[in-house]
Amino acid sequence: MTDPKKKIIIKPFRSRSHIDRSGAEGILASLDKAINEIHNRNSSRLSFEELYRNAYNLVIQKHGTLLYDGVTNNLSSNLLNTAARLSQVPDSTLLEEVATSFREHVTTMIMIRDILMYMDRTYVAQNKQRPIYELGLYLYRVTVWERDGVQNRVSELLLQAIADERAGFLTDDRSLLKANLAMLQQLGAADGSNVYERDFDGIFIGTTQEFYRNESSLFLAENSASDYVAKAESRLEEEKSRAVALVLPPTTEAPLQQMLEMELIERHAKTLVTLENSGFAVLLKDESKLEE
Amino acid sequence: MEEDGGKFIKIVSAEGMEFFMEKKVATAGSKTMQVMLEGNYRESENNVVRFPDISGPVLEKVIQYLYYLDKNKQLSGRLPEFHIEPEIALELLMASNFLNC
Repeated sequence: MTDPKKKIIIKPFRSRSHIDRSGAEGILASLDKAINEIHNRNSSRLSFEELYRNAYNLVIQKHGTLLYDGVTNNLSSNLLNTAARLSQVPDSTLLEEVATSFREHVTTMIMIRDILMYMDRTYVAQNKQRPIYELGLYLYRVTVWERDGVQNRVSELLLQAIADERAGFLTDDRSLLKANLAMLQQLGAADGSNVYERDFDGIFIGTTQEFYRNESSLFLAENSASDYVAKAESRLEEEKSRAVALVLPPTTEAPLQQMLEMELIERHAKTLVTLENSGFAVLLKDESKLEE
Repeated sequence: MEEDGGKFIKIVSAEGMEFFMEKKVATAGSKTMQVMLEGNYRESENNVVRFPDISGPVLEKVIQYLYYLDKNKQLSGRLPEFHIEPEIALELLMASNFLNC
C-alpha cells in the first residue's frame, strides 16, 4: 500500500460552472426541442449522452423543479394536439388511430424516461412526485382519453363491435378491440384510477346482461327446452372465448360468468323443467324421448 | 469505425483519450450505458460514446471496474479487492453517480 510518509493529495474537485436560472432555462429549451424530436420519431440524430448529461446537470444544480415542470408542460401541450386531432377523426378509423397514438406515446415515454433517469432516481423520489413514465400515462388519460369526442365515441364503438359479433356479423379483426382495452388497463394501472372499470367494464356487463335477458326470454318462448339448452351452451362458450381473445382481466371474467349463468340458466330453471311438451319433467316421464 | 457485429464500442473522454471495450460488458455493468447503446440514439448507430465531463484517468478506472464486475459476476462470497487511488476517488464518485454503476 502507500508509503505512510508520502502525502496523499486529492485534487480539489473541479467545481462545475454554476448554472444560473437563465442558463438553466436555456438547457431546458434544448431538452424541450429534443423531446419534440422524439415525439416526431426522429430520435436517431440525438445524442443520448448530451441529453442525459443536460438533465443530470440541471438536477445537480438544484433546478430539478424547473426540469420536471418543463417536461410536464411539454408533454401536456403535445398531448393536447393529439387529443384535438383524435376528436376530429371519423368513427370508422377512430379505434385504430387511438391504438396507434397510444402505442407511439408509450414508445416516446420510454425514451424520455431513459433520458431523465437521473431525475427519476433522485429528484422524483425526494420530492414524492410521479415518476416520469407514470406521469406520461396519467397525462395521456386526462388530456387525450377523457377528451370529449374521444372517450365517449371509443366506448360506444367497442360495445357496438361486441354487439355486432353477438348478432353474427364477422368482425374484421379483434386486435383493435384488444389494443384499446389493454390501453385502458395500462392507464388505470399507471395512476391508480379505475378508468377501465368506469369507461368500459361496468357498461359492458350491464349491456351484456340486458342482451341475454331479452334473448333468452324470446328464445324460450318459441323453442323447446333442449334447443334452448344447446343455444345457451353455445352462448356461454362464445362469451368465454371472447373474454380470452380480448384478454379481459379476471376482475371482469368472474362477474361476467356469474351474470351469464344467472340470466341464461337460473332465471329460466323453473320454466325449463315445467315447460309443456318439452320441459325436463315431461322428458323424464316419457321414456321414449330419453335420448334427447 | 464499425467493428463486425458492433461488438466493441469506442469511449472518448473529456481530453479526447479513446478507449475500446466490449459492448456487453458495458451494458451489463452500467444502466446508463445500457440505455444509451440499446436505444435509438446516435451512440448506438456508430457505437461511439463521448463523455466530455469525465477525464481520462477516471474513465479508465470506470472501464476497469466494469470488467471487474463482469469477471466476478458468478463468484459469491468474498470478492477480490478493487483498488482505487485516493486521488481520483472524488471524481470517480461523481462519474459513478452519473453512470449509475
